[in-house]
Amino acid sequence: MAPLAWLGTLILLPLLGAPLLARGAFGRFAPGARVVLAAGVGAALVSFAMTLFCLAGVPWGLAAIALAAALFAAALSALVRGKATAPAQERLGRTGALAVALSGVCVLVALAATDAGAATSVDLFYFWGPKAQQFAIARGVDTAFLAGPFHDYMHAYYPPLVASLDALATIAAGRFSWTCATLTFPLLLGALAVALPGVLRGAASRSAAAAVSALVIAAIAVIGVRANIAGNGDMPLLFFETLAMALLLRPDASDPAVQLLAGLLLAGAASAKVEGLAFALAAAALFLALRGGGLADSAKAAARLLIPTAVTLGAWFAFGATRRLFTAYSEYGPFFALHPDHWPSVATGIPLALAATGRALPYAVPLICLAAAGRPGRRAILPLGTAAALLAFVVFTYLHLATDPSQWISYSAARILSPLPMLFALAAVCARRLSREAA
Amino acid sequence: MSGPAPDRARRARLWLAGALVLCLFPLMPRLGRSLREQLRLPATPVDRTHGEWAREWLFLESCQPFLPSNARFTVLAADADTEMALYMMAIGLFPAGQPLPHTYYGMPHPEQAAAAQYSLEYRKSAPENPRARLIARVPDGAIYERPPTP
Repeated sequence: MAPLAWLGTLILLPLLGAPLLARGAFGRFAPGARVVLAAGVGAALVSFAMTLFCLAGVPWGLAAIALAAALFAAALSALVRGKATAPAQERLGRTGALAVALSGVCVLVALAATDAGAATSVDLFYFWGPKAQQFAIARGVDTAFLAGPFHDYMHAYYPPLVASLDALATIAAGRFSWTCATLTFPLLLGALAVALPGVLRGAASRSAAAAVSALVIAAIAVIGVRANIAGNGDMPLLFFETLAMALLLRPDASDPAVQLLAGLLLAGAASAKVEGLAFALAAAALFLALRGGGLADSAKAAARLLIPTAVTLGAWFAFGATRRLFTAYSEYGPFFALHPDHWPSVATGIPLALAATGRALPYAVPLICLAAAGRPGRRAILPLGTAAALLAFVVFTYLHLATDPSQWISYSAARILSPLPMLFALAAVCARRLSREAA
Repeated sequence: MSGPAPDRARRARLWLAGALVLCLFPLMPRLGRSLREQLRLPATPVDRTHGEWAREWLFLESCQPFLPSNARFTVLAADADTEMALYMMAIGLFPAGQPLPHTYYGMPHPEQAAAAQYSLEYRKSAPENPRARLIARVPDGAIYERPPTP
């Protein structure tokens, strides 16, 4: 029963995001996509509520956290106006049907690999799991545990979402479940497989949306299984990043409701892992630069996209500062303390790490699809620019290590750069026409 | 972005082909082992990703019944990397206990380990402390209670 309760808690997240996603403005999304988007919003708001409880010194309780998250969603719904309808019914077609089936196969393969103990992340045992377990016991972020003299591997400053949600599930189940924590990988991959075609429907035909989604799901499945991400923060991060980017690529991304939704998902990404902040900032900045328009409109759009991230991370850093635990992402030394002499290790280590992950196919195939899809449209700057920014951030981070970063790169680069295939695939949606036809 | 319909259809087929390539080449070989091997339920979540860790995990799990839940213990092994891995796993597997590192990031910390009441000794032929009392032998190791420090 405990594993069921553990996973059941996460499956209930859509209910907490429902007060926002139930608004008519989100009727533009297919029902499945709407439920998954509500889960994403619910997860981000639950994590925020849990941080606020800690900041206020209030112990975590299931009902209180759920109520707070639902109230936040209801309050946010007051900002959303208007109604939108789903795109007209369109045949899925043979290609679309095959793509849906292929996405399903990828999710099943990910599930089988995870269930067989063939995709489990080392980091689950080193810090994600122990943190979640201790937080559940302490009914809050356990500062004494994080500050322990031999607990610095727990990365006290890491953003809170994954450990907090796992702790919530642990409180509900009565104990931490290592297996259920790993199953979040196929669960979230399955959620993406359900939602992504519906979210992309605004940017592509039904068949094309299903096909590009299959490409994204397959790439994430391969990286997840080959780079062992089950149970760590990478899959939640990919979940938020993929949905946020897909929303920003829609033709109706200028709608305040869509921007608010994307902003909440970007906040989820920034709350999931450190690199989520780099992604959120790059995506928001590029979106604002591409959209044009007046200063006042841009300021409003920036607020919708970035205030959720600023507020959630602000609460987290306020907690860290008031408990004298951390004040910044500073594990690797001062911000500009780089070690350029490690450049050769970084320049060779990253390609080697990618080559060791499914022979680099999950990175190369979406890139080839992008190249073959034709000249990228202007909107492709958004995913491609975000990919470039993420790569620059990763290189910048690796150059911070005082010692040779080769080993660190070998076990982390494939995971940290896992959003790249998704960004290439989504950029392909923005291609103007097939290169063959252009020729 | 929309383009003519044949163009869109070709593009969709291209993406589908890409997904198929990813499904067939890098993903399927992972499941290409014998059916019997595939159907064997894993004893630990790391059975097929880190075989050595799986053994260490099972060792710690088999120690659990012999220790009080709030036990203060250290974990000893033949090398620093194994001791570090065992220590980190012990934090998760003994949430109410107090694991104390004998080595941490390769640095010896005997003063920490000396404060432990119990030692979990992984693949060691003889106890670290000859005066320690054997509590139980488990697969890949043994549990000892150390005499009180004078």
